[in-house]
Amino acid sequence: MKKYSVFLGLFLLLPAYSQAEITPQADSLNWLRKISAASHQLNYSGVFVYQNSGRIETSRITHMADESGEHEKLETLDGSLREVIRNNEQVYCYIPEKNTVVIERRRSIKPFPALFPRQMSDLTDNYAIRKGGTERVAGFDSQVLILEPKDGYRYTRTLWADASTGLLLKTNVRNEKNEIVHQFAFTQLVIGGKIDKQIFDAQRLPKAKTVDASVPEDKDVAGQGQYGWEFTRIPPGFRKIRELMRPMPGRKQPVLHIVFSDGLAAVSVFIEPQGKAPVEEGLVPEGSMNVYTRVASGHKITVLGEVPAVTVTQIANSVVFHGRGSHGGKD
Amino acid sequence: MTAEISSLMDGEAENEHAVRILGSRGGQDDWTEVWDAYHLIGDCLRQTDPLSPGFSSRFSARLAEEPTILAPQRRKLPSVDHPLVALSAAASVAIITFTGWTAYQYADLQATPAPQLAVAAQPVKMAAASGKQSAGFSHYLLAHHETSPVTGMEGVTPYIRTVADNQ
Repeated sequence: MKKYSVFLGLFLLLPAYSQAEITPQADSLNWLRKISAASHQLNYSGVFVYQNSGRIETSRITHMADESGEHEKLETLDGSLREVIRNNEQVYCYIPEKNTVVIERRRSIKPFPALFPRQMSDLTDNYAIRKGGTERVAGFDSQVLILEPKDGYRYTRTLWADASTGLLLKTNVRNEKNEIVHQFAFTQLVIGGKIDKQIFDAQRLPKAKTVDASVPEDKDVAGQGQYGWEFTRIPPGFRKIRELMRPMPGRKQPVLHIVFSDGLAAVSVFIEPQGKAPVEEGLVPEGSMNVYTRVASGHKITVLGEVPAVTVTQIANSVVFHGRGSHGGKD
Repeated sequence: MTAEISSLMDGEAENEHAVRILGSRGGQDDWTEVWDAYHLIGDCLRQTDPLSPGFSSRFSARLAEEPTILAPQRRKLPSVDHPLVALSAAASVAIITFTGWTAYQYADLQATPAPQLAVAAQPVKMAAASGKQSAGFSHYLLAHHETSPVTGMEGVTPYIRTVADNQ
């Protein structure tokens, strides 16, 4: 009857088993920092699948970091070919079927943008972050991290990071019904190794007409409704991170674009004069996004983001115009 | 406790006794740990391939995470208004091998995906979505992706989204 007891002592020497898996928040946050840095600082090349609602796309990515910064090349493998080359903030998107290269300077892409402390505190305010188990993704052992929302204004995110380098191997976003709204996963990947720098040379793209699609600089990011628009009931945890007037195809006038973020999820608000065309007000799910449209003070307000319907609805319904901004009122 | 486990494992415990032990102890963590340990030891002795350490706790955790699907509902395929564009062979393979479970809910890869109308118990007014309106959002979506914060935790998705939306 006691024949197993002899082995019990032996067994207790196995630390991985006998210790309960205690994961202090600091450990999880360190993982997030590691993940955040890895995708910018490592050399890697591989094939990944991106799935957004019903749509699935496969692409190849090559990434290199050296003394001159970050270089990245992305090619779509299904559907029509798109080729994106990025050298730090400078982005070239080659569209063969239109014989066009779209050039863009992306303000939002900073070289090596580690997570800032403020972003970190936003994250921990809005999400409960915990470590999951280890799983195999694309042939790599990965550490699972789960970011669960602390309220109903955002979605759950799960990250799978390479156990040794921290490179993000897979990620998904699940909605309040636990359905995956989007996911990204490497299916084949090589980390490290030598990469030919020539492939990031935009001059080597075929000759094509170029279009500059750079977005104008924000005047004042933290500005308090410089254009006369205010939000009375922003969902907890969301902060305005951008406010800019931007040209929009098919519009004569620029459109006011305001972005709110909780550190992970982003919600965009577009405000433009109503015009003559009728506006269909209400909520429309658009892929993984929720889009809410309404009319206020003679303007069409469009709010969208990869967030629950309640978040876009509340933001849209809290818009008020007061004041005489350069883009407001019924003048 | 160890005696109980031992007797259970050896099949020495009478049925009623076993039920009583399991009923009183079954949910206790330390009890489960010892139970697992004994089984692991047993497996080693019998030279059967043991499960990896912590298998049962991970299994339980993952089982708890699995959504409970009571009545899997087949998503309606796009109606005649949204004819399916034939998928390329490569794309089809990718869909099947990578995410078999989504195979039934794909939209066509080339055209703008049909907006999903079925959102259960939505407390807000739903706009009458049409293909035309959906196309009208694309500029907004593009602008949104361009301006969203890049933390590195989104991986490379900011670009691929932009590329995808450009189509």
